[in-house]
Amino acid sequence: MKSSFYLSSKEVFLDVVDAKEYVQLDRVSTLYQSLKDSVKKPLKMILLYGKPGTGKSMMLNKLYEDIKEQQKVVMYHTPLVDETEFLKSLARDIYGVRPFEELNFTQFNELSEHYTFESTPLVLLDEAQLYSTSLMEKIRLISDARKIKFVITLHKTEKEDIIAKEHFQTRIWESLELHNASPSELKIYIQKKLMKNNCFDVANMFDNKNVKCIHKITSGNYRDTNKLLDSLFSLYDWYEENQPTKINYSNISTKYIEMAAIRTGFINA
Amino acid sequence: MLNVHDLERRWLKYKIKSYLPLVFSLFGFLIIAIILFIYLPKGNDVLEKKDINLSLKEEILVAKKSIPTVPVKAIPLPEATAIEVPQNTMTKPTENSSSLTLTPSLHFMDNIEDGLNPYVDEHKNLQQLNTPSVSYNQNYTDATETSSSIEVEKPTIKKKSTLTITKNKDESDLKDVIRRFKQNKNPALSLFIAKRYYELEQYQNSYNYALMTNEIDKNIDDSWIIFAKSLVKLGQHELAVLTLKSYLKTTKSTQADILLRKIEAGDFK
Repeated sequence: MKSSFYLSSKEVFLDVVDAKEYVQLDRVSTLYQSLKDSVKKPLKMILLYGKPGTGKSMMLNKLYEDIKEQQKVVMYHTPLVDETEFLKSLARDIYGVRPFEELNFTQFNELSEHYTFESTPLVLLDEAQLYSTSLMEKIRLISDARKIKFVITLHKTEKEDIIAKEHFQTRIWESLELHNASPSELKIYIQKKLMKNNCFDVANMFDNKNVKCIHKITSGNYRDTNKLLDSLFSLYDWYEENQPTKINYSNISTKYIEMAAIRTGFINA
Repeated sequence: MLNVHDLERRWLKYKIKSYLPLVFSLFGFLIIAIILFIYLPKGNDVLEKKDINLSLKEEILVAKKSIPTVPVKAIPLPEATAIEVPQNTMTKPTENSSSLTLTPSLHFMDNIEDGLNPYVDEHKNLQQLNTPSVSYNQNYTDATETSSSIEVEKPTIKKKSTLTITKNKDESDLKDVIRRFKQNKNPALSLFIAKRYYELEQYQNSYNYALMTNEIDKNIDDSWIIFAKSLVKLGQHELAVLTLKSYLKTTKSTQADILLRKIEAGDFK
C-alpha cells in the first residue's frame, strides 16, 4: 500500500541516535577512521566538535558499538552534571564497584589505583559543553593520570570553543571537526537511508533539484534534514490518503518540500 | 495535527512573497524599456517613413523632371531605361529582336531629323533609343504605338509627359540650363540650349550655342547640324554648305550628308 510506503519512509527519518542507521559518506567515513585510529593511540583525550546536527552523537554511538567488544568502553549520552554522581557512575561502570555513600575525587583516584586493564578504559561523553568547568577540570586530571581515556563531543560555538581552549588545549589530545553535508553528500545520505529501509521507490524520487532545495533549507544539517523529511513524508502520506491525484510519483515535489519547511519552521511564511 | 489546507495557503503566500522582488524588478525594467523606446530618437523610423513616402510613381516623376534638362546624348541610357520603360515594353522588343537584322535606314534618319525640332518627338526618340535591343528596322509608327501604350498602362507617366510638354514651351527652364552650362561647360547642355533656341526660332542664339558646343567637342553630329541649320535660317547658305562639307571631310555623318544634300537641293530653307 502506498500510504504505508510513505509512512515507512517517514520512520526512516525519525531523529534517533542509532548506530545501525549510521550512513557512511566519504568525508564522514574518513573522519570516523581518524577517530578510531586516535582511540588506539596513547592520547589522554579526544575532542569531537561541530555544529549541532552534524552527526557527533551518531559518530560517538557508532564508535561505541564498534569497539565495545574489543575494550572497556562506557558511554554517557546524558551529561552527569553532579560531580559525585559522575565519579560514582565511573566507579560502577568501569571498575564494577558499588558506589560508596560519598565518593570524592581523591577517593576515586585511590580506587583507580587498584585496577589495571590491558588497554586504558574509554569513556565517551556526549554533550560535554553541559559539564561544569570544575567537573571538566576533574575529567582533565583523571585523563592526565592515564587511568581513563576520554572522547568528548562539543557543540562548536564561540563559547564552547573557549571551554575547549581553556581546558584541553595544553593537553595531548586530538580534535576532529564535523561539518554539514554538501548537496551531493546530502543526496547520498537521503537515498542510502531510504534504501537501507527498503524504500527504493521513494529513494529514486529524489533528484538533484529536490536535494538542492532541501540543502538550501537545511544547509546540509543532518538533524534538520531528518526533521524536514519526516514532515515531508507526513504530507505525502496525507495526500496519498486524501488527494492521491496531486501526487507525482516520479519526483518529489518542490512545493511539498517547501510546505514541509513551512510546517517545521525552516521557512517563515 | 496536519492542517494541509492551511499549509497550502501559507505556501502560496510564501511563493507570492518570494516572487515579488523578481516581479518588481521585471516591471521596473519594462518601464525603463518603454521610457527609452518612447523618448529615444528613432533615426531608422524617419528613414523608413521617407522610404514609404517616396513611392515608385514619385520616383518616376522626379526622374522625368530631370530629363528635359539633359540633352539626348548626355543621358546615361541604362538609368533612363530603368526608370521609364515598363517591363512589358522591355520584353516586347527582345521577342522581335531575334528575327530582325540591323541595317542603316534613311527613314530612321528622317525621324531623327524631324525629332530635332519639336521636343516631344525628340522625347519619343529618346524612349525609342532607351528601349534595349530595338532595331533600326522597326518603323516609327511601331515606336509611337509602344510609347502610347505605355501612357495608357501607366497613367502617372502620361500625366508627367503632359507636364513636360508644358515646361518645354516655357523659356524659363532654359535659364536654369544656361546657368548650369556656365557652371560646368558641359557640351551636352550647350547642345540642348542650341536645340531649344532653334525650336523657339531664335536662330542667332542657337547658332551661338552650337558654335560653343563645337568648340568644346568637335565630334557631336547634332551640334554641327544645328549649327548648319541655324546658318541657313540666318540666310548664310554658303557658309552652312561649307561648314557641312568641311565636317564631312573628317566624319562620315549620314545626317550631315542628308542635310547638305537638302540644302544644296533647296529642300531646306
